[in-house]
Order: sequence, then C-alpha cells, then structure tokens
Amino acid sequence: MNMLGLSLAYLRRRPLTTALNLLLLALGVALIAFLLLLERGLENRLSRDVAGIDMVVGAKGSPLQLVLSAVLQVDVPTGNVPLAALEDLRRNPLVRQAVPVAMGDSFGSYRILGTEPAYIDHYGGRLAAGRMFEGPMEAVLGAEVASASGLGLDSPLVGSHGLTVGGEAHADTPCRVVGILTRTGTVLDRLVLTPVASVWAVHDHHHHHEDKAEETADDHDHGAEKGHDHDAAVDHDREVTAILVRYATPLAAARLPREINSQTSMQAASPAAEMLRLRALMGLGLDAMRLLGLVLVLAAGLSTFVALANALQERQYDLAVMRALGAGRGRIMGQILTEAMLVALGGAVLGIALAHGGVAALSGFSARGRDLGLSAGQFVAGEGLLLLLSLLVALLAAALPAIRAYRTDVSRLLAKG
Amino acid sequence: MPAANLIDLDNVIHRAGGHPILRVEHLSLPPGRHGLLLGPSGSGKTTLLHMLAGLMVPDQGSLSLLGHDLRAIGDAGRDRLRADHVGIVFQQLHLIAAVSVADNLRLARRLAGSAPDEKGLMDLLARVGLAERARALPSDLSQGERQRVAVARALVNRPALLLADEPTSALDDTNCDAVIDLLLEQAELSGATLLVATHDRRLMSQLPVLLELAKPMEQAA
Ligand SMILES: Nc1ncnc2c1ncn2[C@@H]1O[C@H](COP(=O)(O)OP(=O)(O)OP(=O)(O)O)[C@@H](O)[C@H]1O
Ligand SMILES: [Mg+2]
Repeated sequence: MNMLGLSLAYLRRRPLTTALNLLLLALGVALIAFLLLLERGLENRLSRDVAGIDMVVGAKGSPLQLVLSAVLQVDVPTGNVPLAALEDLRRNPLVRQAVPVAMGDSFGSYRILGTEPAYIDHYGGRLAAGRMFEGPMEAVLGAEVASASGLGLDSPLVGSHGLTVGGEAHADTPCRVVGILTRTGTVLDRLVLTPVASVWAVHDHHHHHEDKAEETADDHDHGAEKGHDHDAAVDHDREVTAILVRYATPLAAARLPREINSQTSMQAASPAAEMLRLRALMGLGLDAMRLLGLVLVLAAGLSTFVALANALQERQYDLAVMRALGAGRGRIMGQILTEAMLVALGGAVLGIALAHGGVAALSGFSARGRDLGLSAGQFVAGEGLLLLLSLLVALLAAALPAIRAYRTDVSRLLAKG
Repeated sequence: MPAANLIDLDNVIHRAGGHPILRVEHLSLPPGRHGLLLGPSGSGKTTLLHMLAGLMVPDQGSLSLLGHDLRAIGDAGRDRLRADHVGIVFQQLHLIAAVSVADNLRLARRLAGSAPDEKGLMDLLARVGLAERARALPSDLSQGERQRVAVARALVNRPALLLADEPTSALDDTNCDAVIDLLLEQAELSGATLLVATHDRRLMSQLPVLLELAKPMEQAA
C-alpha cells in the first residue's frame, strides 16, 4: 500500500464525487483541446491551400467568398470572368503565372475543377498512376476522390450539375479517368481535375438540352437556327470562374489589385488578407468556446476543492492516525495533493483522449472533417499546456485543504475521539 | 551510550485553557516492565500517552524517550522517533476504513518509512488470528477482530514501546482479560514494552500500576 494506492482507495470510496470532478475537468479539457486541434487542422489547411497564390481575380462580390470558392473550394463562386481576362493577365509583365479555374459541377461531394496542369504543379501534385489530362473529357483524380470513389484508370466519371450533392446528373457526357494523383494534404486531394474545355463542353451540351426543352414547351419553329447561333458564339463568350495569379514582382501587389478593381468589372482579392479576416472572424467564436472550456476547468477545480474540503472533514481522524503512525506533516499534505493531482491527471488525460476521439470521429464520418486534414494521432503543444493548467488548478484547489491538514492538532483530535 | 530506560519523565506540568490538566513528578520505565497508567476520567492519561508518543510536548518538565529529549529533537525528530519506536492502540481504534486489514498494516509500515515486509506482516496477522481476514475491510470485521487489527498495526513496525489507551473501557470481564492477554502476549512476542492507560481498576489484577494520576485540580486542593 503506497500513497498512490491510498489516494485511489479514497477516491473510490466516493465514486460519485470523483466521477463528477473527473467529468467536469474532462469536458473542459476536451472542449479546449478539440478547439486546439480543429484550429491546427484549419490553420494547416488554410496555409497550405493559400500558399503561393498572391491574388485571385473573379467576378465582383465578397472578396472572402471569392477566395473561399476559388482557392479553398468551399463557398459558391461570385460569378464568372471572361476568358479574355486570362489572356490580358498573362500578357501583363507584373504577372508571373495566371491559372484559370472553372467550376460548376461536382462528383459526389467533390468538386470538378476545370483548370490547367500548372494548377496541379502548384500544389505539388504527382501522378500515382496514369497520365496528365490532355484533352476535354479527360479527368485526373485527387487522392481522396480516388480512394473514396474507388474509380480507377479508364473508369467513366459522371458529374452532376451544381456544387452541391444531388444536382442533375450529366449522364450523357461522362469524363474518362486518365490519371490519379498522390496525396498532397492540400485542396488538390479533394478535386476532380479536368481541362477547362471539359467544363465548357458539359455545359454546352447541357444548354442544348435546356434549349430544346424550352423550344418544345414554347413550340418555337426556328430551333435549329438558335442552336447554331449558340455553337458559333462559343469561342468569344468563353468564361472561367476565377483566375489564380502569382506576381512576378512584389511591386505588383501595390498596383495590380487596384487596377483590376477600379478599371475592370472584375475584382481582385488577396488570399492572405482574406485569410486574416477569416481568422479574425473565427477567432471570436473560438474564443467564446475556449472561455466555456476554461469555465468548465475552473468549475472542476472548485468542485475538487469542495470535495477535498469535505473529505478532510470525514477523514480528519485518518489523517491524525497517519501522523500517529509516524507520518510527518509533509506526508499528510502530500496525501491530499496526490489525490487532487490524480483527479487532475485523470480528467486531463480523459479530456485529451475525448478530443482526439472527437477528431477521429469527425474525420471518420464527415467529409468536412477530412477536408480539414485532421488527424487524431497528432498532438499539439497546447495540449501539454492544458495538462499543466489542469494540474495547476488542482494544486490550487488542494492547497487550502492540504494546509489545514498540515496544521491539524493531532493530539487534540485523537484525544477527543 | 544507549539509554537504560524507555521513558524518563520529571516534573512534567501541562496546561490547557488556563488550567493544569496533567501533573507528573516522576516516571521512568525500563524495557520489559509492562504496566498501567491508572487514573480517573479527565486525569490526563490520554494527554500523557500523547506526550510519550511525541504527539505533543509538555509545557514544563523534562521528558525523554530512549534517551532522546523530546523537546530538543523538534517536530520532525519526534515524528521519526514515533515512527521507529512507538506503537499506539487508540481507544477508538481508528483503523483506516478505506483500505483492507492488510493494507492498514502495510500503510503503517509505509508511513513509518519501514521497508515492506510481507512475510512479517502476514505472520503478525496470523499471530492475532486474522490471517483469513487480511483482505477484509475494517467495516466487515467484528469489534474484537478490529481490536486485534489495531494491536497488530501498532506492532507492525516492531516498536520498543506499545501504548494502549483505554483498551477495555466497554468490555465485560471475560473480554477485558482477553484483550489484556492479547496485548501482553503480542508485546512480548514483538519485544515491546506495554503501557496501558486506563481508569479500569480490574486491570490491576493483570498488570502492575506504574503511575497513578489524579485530577490536577484535586491534587492541588
Ligand atoms: N487541548 C485541550 N484544551 C483544553 N482542555 C483539554 C485539552 N486536552 C485535554 N483537555 C482536558 O484535560 C483533561 C485531561 O484530558 P485527557 O483526555 O488527557 O484525560 P483522560 O484521563 O484521558 O480522560 P478519559 O479517561 O476521559 O479519556 C480533560 O479535562 C480534558 O477536557
Ligand atoms: Mg483519555
């Protein structure tokens, strides 16, 4: 029987109180740790996805929405920009690279992105199998899409209209999978990549259908002519959703966005600046939740204090007897502290385990969780601090009872008994 | 030079709440001389036992345990001396209810800083007839069994001095004899000297009176 065993024996004797204290602390710690993990995942995802993109050019609207939709692939786009804008940017000496992105379709919960091989290079995508897309209706799958869908090389891939699950299927215009990428830990993993021309082709086809449907309904008689017009209009009406730009020189940051915003009908947004805004927005909510977690941890401390103070009342004879058996005052104090520390350690470890369990569940059951690239096996430094915080709170909770135990007049107590 | 006596006490006076509660002129106890501290309720028996155990120091007078001046060696020194040389059986027994019989004994060794000695511990439990009850909780035992646990626990560190406070107060004659026999026998087997504080004059037939206390007030009167 050592001090630890004795502490455990005492904790077991009041299971409800112990469980309550453990639970309070575990919940508080779990909440804070979960937020830490979530933030870390989010932070990683954001910084990886945004890295190296200096400017996004898209239709006017919210700049945050533009960055979210065109870079992070989470929001709906603000609209389209003419293909000609891409050519203009490419001719601009301030621009090192301009890559178009075109979206509008999805495959299950994954987006189909019309772009150029340069987009894949930007995120460090390597082919695990097959080859890069070369022509329309050829698709390269991100690692996550490939593993989730089970599609292999040469499989047909039928997209559906819209960026949300459950849109109308483009069954008669399937793409063919020609390549599969290795995992990059970026937005690339969750995309189906195809030339911009595929996106146009699918939608041209789609428009034909719509036109025909309209014609039948309206009983129009010059349908063929209209269809012809549409096809002819194709080349100069071409649009993309947004253009991702890398500057050739830092000077570009001062001029280019201003020029675009004032002189064109498009807008230029800086991913870095928008991400700062996003963090500031999220920060408020996260701070509130962190505060809640902290309150729970403090409540656990308070409840531990009450429990120990009560226990001291019940156990004053035990403590006195322990002194009579030869234990010094320090030993008695240590006993009380050990008990509080045990609860703190148990609660903190339980809480951290809960948080990681939560992360595992989140990334196991939801695409959103996978989107964040969360991994339950990874720990953040903040969790160590959390453990220390719990121990500190327990130490404070136990201090007063421990000092009282230290000061007990054993002789008087035992003479009374 | 080893002390000849377990206890040397001279002119001890102790006060509480402004009144003297204990007054003893002299007491010396050589090893092996078991005996009684006799006195009516309120005469300061428990106070004296606690002093002998180093749980408190007298206001006046000198008190040595195995040659160590209890006042001079300080708090930590008294804790050490008590751990090494004194075993106490309390009137209320004060077993640790949260842990088993054997753990009560283990804890006593641990708290005194003695090395674990499972064999010695089990032998001791067997000696008081509790080998079978080693894993029981104190609350599962009869009063008599609990008393035997308390005796075993007091002896588990092989003290030189075994102190018992009113071990027989609530017992009938037969049980009274049995408890004193148990204490004497176990003290002998452990090589401890037994000192029993009591107001129970029945015990005079089994043990000699080493010191008779009167209430200090009456003494003064
Ligand atoms: N700390 C204290 N403060 C005030 N009075 C005290 C204190 N400790 C003991 N007393 C008093 O001193 C007297 C002696 O107490 P003590 O417990 O030593 O007597 P006792 O002989 O053991 O009595 P009993 O047979 O009832 O156990 C009692 O009157 C008690 O109330
Ligand atoms: Mg008494």
